[in-house]
Amino acid sequence: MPVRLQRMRALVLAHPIATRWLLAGPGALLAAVLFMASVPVWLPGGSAGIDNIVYPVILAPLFWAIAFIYTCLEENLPRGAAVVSAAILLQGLMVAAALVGGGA
Amino acid sequence: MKSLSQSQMKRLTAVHGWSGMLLGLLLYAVVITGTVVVFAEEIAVWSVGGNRATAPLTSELDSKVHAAAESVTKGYREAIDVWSNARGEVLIFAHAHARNPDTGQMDDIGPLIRVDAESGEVLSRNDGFVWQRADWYDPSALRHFLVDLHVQLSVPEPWGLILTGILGLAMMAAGVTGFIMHRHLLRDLFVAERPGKRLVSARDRHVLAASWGLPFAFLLGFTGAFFSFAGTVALPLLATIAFGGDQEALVETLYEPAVQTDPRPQPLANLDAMIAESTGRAGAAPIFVSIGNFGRADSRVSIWHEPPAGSLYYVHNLFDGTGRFLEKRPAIGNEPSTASFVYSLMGPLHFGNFAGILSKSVWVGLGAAMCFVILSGMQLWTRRREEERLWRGFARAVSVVGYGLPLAMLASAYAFFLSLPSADPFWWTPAGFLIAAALAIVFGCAVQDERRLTLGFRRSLAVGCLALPLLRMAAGGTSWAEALGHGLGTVLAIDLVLALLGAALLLWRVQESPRARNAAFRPLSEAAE
Repeated sequence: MPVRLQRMRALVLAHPIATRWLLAGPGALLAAVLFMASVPVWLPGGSAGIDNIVYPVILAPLFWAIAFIYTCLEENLPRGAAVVSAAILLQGLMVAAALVGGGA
Repeated sequence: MKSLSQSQMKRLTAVHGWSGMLLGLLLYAVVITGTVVVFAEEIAVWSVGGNRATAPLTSELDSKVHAAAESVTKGYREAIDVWSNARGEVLIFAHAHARNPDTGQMDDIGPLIRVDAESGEVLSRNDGFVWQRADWYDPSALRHFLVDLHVQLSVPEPWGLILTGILGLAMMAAGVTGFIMHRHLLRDLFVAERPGKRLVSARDRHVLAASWGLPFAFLLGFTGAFFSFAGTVALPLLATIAFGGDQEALVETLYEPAVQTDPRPQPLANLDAMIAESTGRAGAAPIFVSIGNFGRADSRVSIWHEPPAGSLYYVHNLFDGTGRFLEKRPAIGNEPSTASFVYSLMGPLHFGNFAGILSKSVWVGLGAAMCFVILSGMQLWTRRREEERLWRGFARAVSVVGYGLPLAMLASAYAFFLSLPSADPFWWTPAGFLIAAALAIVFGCAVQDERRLTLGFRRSLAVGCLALPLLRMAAGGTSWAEALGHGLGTVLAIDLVLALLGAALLLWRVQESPRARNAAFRPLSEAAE
């Protein structure tokens, strides 16, 4: 494992409570907001041209619930941190690309 | 349920307990007000003395709308919305869009004309940003206050909506964690509580009510969070991502039919004929009419109807300015889709109005059960920690809020009726709520004995419920004889419910609190399970 990743893993294991609070609190919330913002980038509008607007609005609370419960239950904290961070990063990049490109 | 490790169970218990404790009182406020405002329309009709008009939107609306349209400047004919209020009066709002200097947002502006449904007499006319002035369009300050209290805890937008949205998420989280923690869910649905006043009995009651209400708790938390966040966070964010920040373009895509611009003058066809045809097609009464570009060739008339019998969904029919039926519109978007179907479920599932009085009554029952779950959960927590002064104080706060909040809501109704003759009910209704809330807190601080406190609250609630119908009539409201004579069932029904509630509260025996009994007999400490 690269040194940087090892250090991050050690940091997470050294502060398990703070890490879990961060993941379940701001982490899950940010992941849900970015989920909602990123769906219009990749989901087609559908026959009525609204799927990419309506589904993210409706599904965002469910996505938050999934992210929140996952971060509460995940026993392997470094893995949990990696999953949530990856979700935030991936969705964040999609949103950034959409904003730079002038909208989805 | 798949078995959890000890650490997982411990975490879920902490999340379930602490989220309940930190947000429980606010969540209780949202749930109990929501339980009451399931019958918001009925409360509005009851509070204004009943609605004597039969189908106000079907009786010669055409002449009223044309008269109103002729009396406003052309710029305000961009959109003319027509609906009826709780008194059965017709409201005609001719408006354009402009930036509201108070909010910085685009808003509807124009004259709001209130018309007698039968005679067509203009009762009032107010000009401006109408949605900022509830006293212009809502005759029931009581309904307005109670709904506002539920939707945003009377906190200014958008923070109140964000707060209730967070509480919706908390309710979902509490439901899901409770479900996952529950080892014997199916069994516990059918096993009665253990007898006695022990902690395990209290836990049994909490678990039983929570188990039966679990799907409802999740559903209402989810749909509530959707409604709270949709307008404040979701749509502005999606407008930025998908429409370059243009919220008006987003709204047009979602809700407005595509129309080719044609500003040539063309008189609007007979509105009554359109409404009659629309009603025949929908199989239900009209509730809202919206005329776009009145008096132009590109005019469109949208007519919304109650869900017909056996259906969950409102019906939206679209006509052109010549009176020709164009299409039945989906709830959202320009053609039927799965997204529109799912979106159209959110309202009926949250408001419980998909099967009339029956479904609303079930929603009220489940809402009351949720109130019990929230309060009993907090009481369980504080009982387990009753040796600590902080938690004893919090237990007192739970009692004060548990009884004080419905008492304050009742007081707001008293303030509403008392202010009707000569004061501003939109000021006095929330003032009455706050005054009663303050008195409840003072009472809770002053009375040390829990039994006396509980008895005092219950008796106040009982007397308040029993006397409210009498005050309503004394303030000029419809008498029971009049209500019977005019078939105003809503007025009678709510008076009857208040009477029954009052009687039940008077008869409800106050049990000796477990702590008082423990103090008397010094039992051995007990485990919760």
